[in-house]
Amino acid sequence: MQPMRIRAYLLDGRVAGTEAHFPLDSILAAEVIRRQHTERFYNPPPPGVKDGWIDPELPLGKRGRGDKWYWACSFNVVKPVEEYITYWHRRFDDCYERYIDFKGRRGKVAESSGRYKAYRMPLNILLLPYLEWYAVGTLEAVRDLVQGVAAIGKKPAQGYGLVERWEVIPWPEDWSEIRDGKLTRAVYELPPGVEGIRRLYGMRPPYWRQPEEVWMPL
Amino acid sequence: MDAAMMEEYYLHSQLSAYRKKLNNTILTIKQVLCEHPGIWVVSYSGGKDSTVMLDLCYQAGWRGPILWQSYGDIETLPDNRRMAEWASRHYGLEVIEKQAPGEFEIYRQLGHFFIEAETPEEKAAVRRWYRWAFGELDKFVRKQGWTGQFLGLRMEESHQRRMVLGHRGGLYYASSRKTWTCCPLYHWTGKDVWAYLVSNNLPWAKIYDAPGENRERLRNDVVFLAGSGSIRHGQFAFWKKHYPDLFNRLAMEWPEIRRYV
Repeated sequence: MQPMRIRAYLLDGRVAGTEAHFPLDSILAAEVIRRQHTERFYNPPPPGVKDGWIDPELPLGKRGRGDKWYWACSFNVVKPVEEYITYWHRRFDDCYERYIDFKGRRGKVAESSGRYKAYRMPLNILLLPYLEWYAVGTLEAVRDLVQGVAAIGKKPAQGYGLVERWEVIPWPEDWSEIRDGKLTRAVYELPPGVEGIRRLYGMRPPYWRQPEEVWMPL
Repeated sequence: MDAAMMEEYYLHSQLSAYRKKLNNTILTIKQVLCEHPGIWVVSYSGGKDSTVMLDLCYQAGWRGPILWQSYGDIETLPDNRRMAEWASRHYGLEVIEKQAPGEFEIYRQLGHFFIEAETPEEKAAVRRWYRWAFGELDKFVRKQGWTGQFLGLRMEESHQRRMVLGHRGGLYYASSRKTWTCCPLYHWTGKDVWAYLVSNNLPWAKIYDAPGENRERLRNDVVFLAGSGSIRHGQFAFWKKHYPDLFNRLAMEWPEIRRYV
């Protein structure tokens, strides 16, 4: 186990997501699942289902005590230089009308309201020169895993978050939790003299599954 | 708000068209108060429109209670509560808080989540909530014996408001509340509203400074979730971005909402 710095250089700097945290342990966990449990990767349980989740073993150190543990890996520490909103749309395609079952009665497909109302969903785009994380773990294993990650964030099929190249290098200090008196990831206990903010957030991948009251970077 | 935008709104406030609209609005409020004497209440949400309306009413000589509606433990945004506290302090007027159920009560009552009411039970639950939230408010307003109510609605906000306010104008009698309703800003644009806030050094909720959002169109509330298409227009995505803790609390109870971000 050794401290390291990981950088993802983006193809065009656009990543879709509401926050710039993009925890690397989550990205690595997805990659492990993709490699070892391909079927489950492409058919994950729906949100809210408690069973059937895979907790993959990562080549990273573990921190914390008992059930309250987390991977020794920071959030992305690079702040976005710009942020904007774009929209994706989905509307009923009338070439599929024959598949609608109105149960023998007359029916109407209204796109302005009701069941067939079209979607217009905002997509938050962050512009970053690159994403950067600090971790403690097995450098070669992390380097191997990240090579399989082609994109970060939402809507990669639309071209967002595409990674041009990864860089994993040894780092002289362990900044996986704290750097210059500031948190670099969520922690259960705030060390003295360190700044943080209390928030409801996940601690291990998948981060959305079990939010807890924790200390987060400002 | 950056300096360039501040300057743009300040310059807008110097336009003669804007000054004329402002003077006419103050005159309308004075006339309404004169023609329908009695107690008038200002409905205040904490948003940009109601802050401007409250200040205009105050400048026009109105004094009375401020009515602020909250929506349960989850859907009452902390920003709005702070603004209501500011209004009370700044104008030295009483703020009456009327508690309404949050729209998530609908899901709690039914025991499941939906984005469009389809079954009779879902439709009934949505109707029940509207009666519960707005019917109770109407009843409350009727009971107070107030002469009228100032609302910060604007035509520009939605198609429905354009039709209703365009037809009725800024003053009408609401038979459901048995009171007069005055919407002094009904013909104002988002730019007018911001020009007034900036040129009068009034505060606004932090949410309006959120990056990537259009401050002239942004709403500061999260109502009308169940039974409407707002979820398909990114209501939950908005919560996730601007109120992540609230979003996570909701998602713990109704994990399905994560499908709509």
